Amino acid sequence: MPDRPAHSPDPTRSAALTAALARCAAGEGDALRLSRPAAPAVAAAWLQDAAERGDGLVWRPRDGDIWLLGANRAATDRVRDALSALGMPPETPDLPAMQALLDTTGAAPPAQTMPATGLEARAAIAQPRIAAIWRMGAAGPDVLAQRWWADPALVFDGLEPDIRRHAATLLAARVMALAVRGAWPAQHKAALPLLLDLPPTADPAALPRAPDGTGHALVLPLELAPQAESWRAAAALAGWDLAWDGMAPALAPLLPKLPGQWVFAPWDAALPATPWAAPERLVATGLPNQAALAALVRARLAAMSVLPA
Amino acid sequence: MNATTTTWQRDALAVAALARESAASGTERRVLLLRLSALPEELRREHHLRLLREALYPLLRPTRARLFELPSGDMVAVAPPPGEHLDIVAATVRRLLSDDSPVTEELRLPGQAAALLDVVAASLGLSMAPAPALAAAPAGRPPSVQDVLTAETAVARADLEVHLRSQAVCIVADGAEGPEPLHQHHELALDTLAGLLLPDADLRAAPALRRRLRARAERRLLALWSRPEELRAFTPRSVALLPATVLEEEFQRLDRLLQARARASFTVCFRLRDVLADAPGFTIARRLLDMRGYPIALDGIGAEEWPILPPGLFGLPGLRLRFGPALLTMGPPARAALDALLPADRAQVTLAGCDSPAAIGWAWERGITRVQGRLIEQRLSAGG
Repeated sequence: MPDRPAHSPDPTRSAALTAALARCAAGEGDALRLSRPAAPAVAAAWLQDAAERGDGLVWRPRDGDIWLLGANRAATDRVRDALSALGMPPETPDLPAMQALLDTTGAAPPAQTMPATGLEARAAIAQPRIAAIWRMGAAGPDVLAQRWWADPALVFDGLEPDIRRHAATLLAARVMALAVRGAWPAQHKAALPLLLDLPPTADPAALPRAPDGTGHALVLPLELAPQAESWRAAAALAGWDLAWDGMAPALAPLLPKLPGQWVFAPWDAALPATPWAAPERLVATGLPNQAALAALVRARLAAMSVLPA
Repeated sequence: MNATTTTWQRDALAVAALARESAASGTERRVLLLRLSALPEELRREHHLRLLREALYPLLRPTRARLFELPSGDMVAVAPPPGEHLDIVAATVRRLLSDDSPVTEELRLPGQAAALLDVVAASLGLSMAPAPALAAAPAGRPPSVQDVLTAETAVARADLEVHLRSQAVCIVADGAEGPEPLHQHHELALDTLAGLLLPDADLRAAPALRRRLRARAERRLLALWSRPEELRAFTPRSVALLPATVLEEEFQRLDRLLQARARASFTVCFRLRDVLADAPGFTIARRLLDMRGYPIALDGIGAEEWPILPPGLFGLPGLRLRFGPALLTMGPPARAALDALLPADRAQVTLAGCDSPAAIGWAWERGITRVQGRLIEQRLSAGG
């Protein structure tokens, strides 16, 4: 009986996929993998073009990754360069080691998308949490402020991006309604500034009064920046400063134009290397891993962490 | 339903079909709109209208022009270009009515097909008035997610040409004979579309859902532009898109089908608010458009937006300013600050909203000669 290979391919693996993998194994073709690309339609179209030019195969398992398998080196290199220039650099997978992964990801159930039905009702009873805004100091993290918010990712998992943005608006409205009633969070430390999310549809004439203390701020989505001065005046009347959410490296020149102190930016690998005019104002959110945290600390940027309930 | 009502409705549908057909085929038509519904009551009695018809039909009968009567009482005369007899008709109507109010209006198809469809819809009792700006406090009930998901299925089959507002971008230079057309600028009338799809909800009260519906409509538009008959005569154009739309399948498909020269004459415009709402999407979309050779412009910059703009305009080479009275009343420091933001190459700057000579004067003071607006459309209709 012949030696059994380390991994037996899934018998349901298609003939085309098997052939593409064989080309890779024989050194006649290369492989690329894009892990959950930010623009999947672009990635798929460009990889498909490379597959057609280079006699390869685009494989899209259910986990959201996109693979190019078995295309010749010229086509593979060209699409790798193009995707890298776009800001979506592909990985070069170690195929022999990933044989098992190929079958398990292919067989994995599709990612669950949360039904959007009843989103409004669920948002109306969501419990906001306290998050700490901190920067690494000589003796450990210094907590600088607290943000009272309801993170859509924690309340509703698996929403499509634009529905998730809508959910964020609903949750900000929920926080605002609690603040108008004076139902401040028990976890708020009186000595720290409190930051509250403001929904983009808020009525500037109906803002809650800020609690006692200084430095409290309303967090506005960046799309309201053209009305920054009007919002600054309305917020000041109710005792609030302004903060902003949605910053990114591509918008860095906008930072000095934004009134207030804190500016939140979802994690982006380019964040620490970007030459910010006032890096002390920047707070990174959604850090994906320890490497991101380390890069952030080296760049002396602040971060936000949600405290356990 | 009496016979007259049926005729009116048939005429309204015929005008709508004619506008759509012209938009689809690119066939040029001159349209003279007689807004008789705007006349005072004492000039709008049946015998007045009969006299008017008796005066107009002999003028139009020997020509290839057609006259339609809308349920509102307005009349629409349509003729292939040059259609000089429409000028005679307009002059006759003004003389008959001895009225100073602007009862006659000229439109030119296919560019103003959407405006003509608005007139038809209004005559049928369908309100086509645009909703107030997003910045205003939302007045109505926000739609639920389910409402918008349902509306999306209708958008996927909608004839969006009807909801497309188009105007020519022209070079208007001091001393030149008339506007020199460069390309058509297109915008989807989302508020009109949303008003039809979600009549009981205020989409402005849910900005993220509004953006989602807009994205679906833009994708549908790009799919329509990818049809073979569209591609065969792909004319220079600009269009306002969400950054996320550029990253969708429909744009990728159109991109694959367009030759390099067509891509270079297709300007993608991003509004500031859309850029700020989706910075990650904007980052990738800008790089992609650059790599594929599309001109890109920051769109809709008016007196409210420009103070927040940083130098360099986020790396976008083009700028589309939106004219408004506030630009005329700016003090010297504000004017100097705005001038410092303008791209040195003024061929990259377009002033939209040129509805008055004052707007063109303001543009010329800044070396801007690329303009767009109702005044330009009127001059094009008048042949310069």
